[in-house]
Amino acid sequence: MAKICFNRAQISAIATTVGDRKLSIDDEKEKFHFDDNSLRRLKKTIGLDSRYVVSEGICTSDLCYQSAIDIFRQLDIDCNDVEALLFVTQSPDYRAPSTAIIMQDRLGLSVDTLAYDINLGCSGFVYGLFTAFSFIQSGLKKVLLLVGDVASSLTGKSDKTLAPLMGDAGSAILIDRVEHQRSYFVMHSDGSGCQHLIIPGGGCRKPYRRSVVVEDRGSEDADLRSDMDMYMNGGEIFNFSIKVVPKLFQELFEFTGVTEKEIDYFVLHQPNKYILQNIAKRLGISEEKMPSKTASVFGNQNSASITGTINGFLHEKFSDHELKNVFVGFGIGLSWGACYVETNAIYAPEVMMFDGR
Amino acid sequence: MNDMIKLLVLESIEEINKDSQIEELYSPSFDTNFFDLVDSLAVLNFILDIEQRLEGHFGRYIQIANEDVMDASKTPFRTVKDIVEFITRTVESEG
Repeated sequence: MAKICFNRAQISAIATTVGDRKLSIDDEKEKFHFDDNSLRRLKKTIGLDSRYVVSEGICTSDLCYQSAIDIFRQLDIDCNDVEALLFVTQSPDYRAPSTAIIMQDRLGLSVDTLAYDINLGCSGFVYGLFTAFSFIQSGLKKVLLLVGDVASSLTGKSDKTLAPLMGDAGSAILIDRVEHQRSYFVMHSDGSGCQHLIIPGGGCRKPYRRSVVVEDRGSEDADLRSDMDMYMNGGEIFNFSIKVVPKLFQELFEFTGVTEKEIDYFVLHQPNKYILQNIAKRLGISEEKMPSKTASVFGNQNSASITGTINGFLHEKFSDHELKNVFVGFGIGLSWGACYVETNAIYAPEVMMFDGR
Repeated sequence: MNDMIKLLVLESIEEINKDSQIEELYSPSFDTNFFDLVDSLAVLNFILDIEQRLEGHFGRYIQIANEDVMDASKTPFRTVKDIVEFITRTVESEG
């Protein structure tokens, strides 16, 4: 098991920008062919209500750009001080080059900046934070982490098993070197489950061809999804979440020596209300300490769901208080990780809507 | 215990079938194959409902969902009999 402890890195700011269009599940009822019963069940169990998505042509990098610029302006950051830029996403601007490198220029960072992408989804914030903290531990002084997805672009437009869940968001997180600040990470990967949550087409195994899309649209669930779109086996992902997340808590508590009672907030990836409330109940953690409404309000924001929860529901607490936090990401890969991180009245504004910058 | 849990399970099935409206679930027998008749969302709804009923009856949360619930080869929620026996064992093991 990968267990790592750092003592020099600290989060200074977290900002999140969501898509500029708010969609209500009631308004999407016809589009997804939900009958009244199905819609009622989804609202009750999964918590579907609304989500924020981007207008056509807006990329994850655009959302992250707005978040990063807000941090730079509000904290009066000199762009030349940023030494590394990491971009965690499954929806880059191009297949190549890394969007992080394009963002180095767009954000006005120095050409001396280290920059690359990390291809991860729902575990991506924890992994990105781990990588950023590693850079700080190795000697860098300031790292900018960007995480997020235009998740609405990853699914079949009419795939009612996935599309109504997805929201678009991009976060920026500023990490600084300090004299002493302990943090702990526990990480896991299991590629044997890769087929349960996957976009099969577009890579070298199944290169993009127009016919890939066309052929798939002729099959039974065609009208819903091609191999260029994300597929999820919901039952297997539910089983995976219920299996690994409680164990992850146990591993982190044993590694850190911190107890559940000492933690102010458990901020988990936000797939849906049911999974989170089930995890909270089996761990005996109150809803106040483990928020679960993000997917119902903003949609499933993939790697930006933890930061989206902080800016969406906990921004005042994170802005005003010293907090002991556990962050947990789990999903596509399969990949999962947790970290214990203390924050000290960081810059954490309320979620912003994309304004076309 | 077993009879009471059977009653709660049948009440839960009746509740979720208000949405699913599956003919075989209107009057299920012990051998009715619940898992194969419903979709995954109905299984989740069933777990949610039965956990609430158990909490109401026993006065404490009893965890029914586990990592096998959606696994077609291992699910303890195959037939009504399987469900009642699994929940009885779970309640007894949690004291």
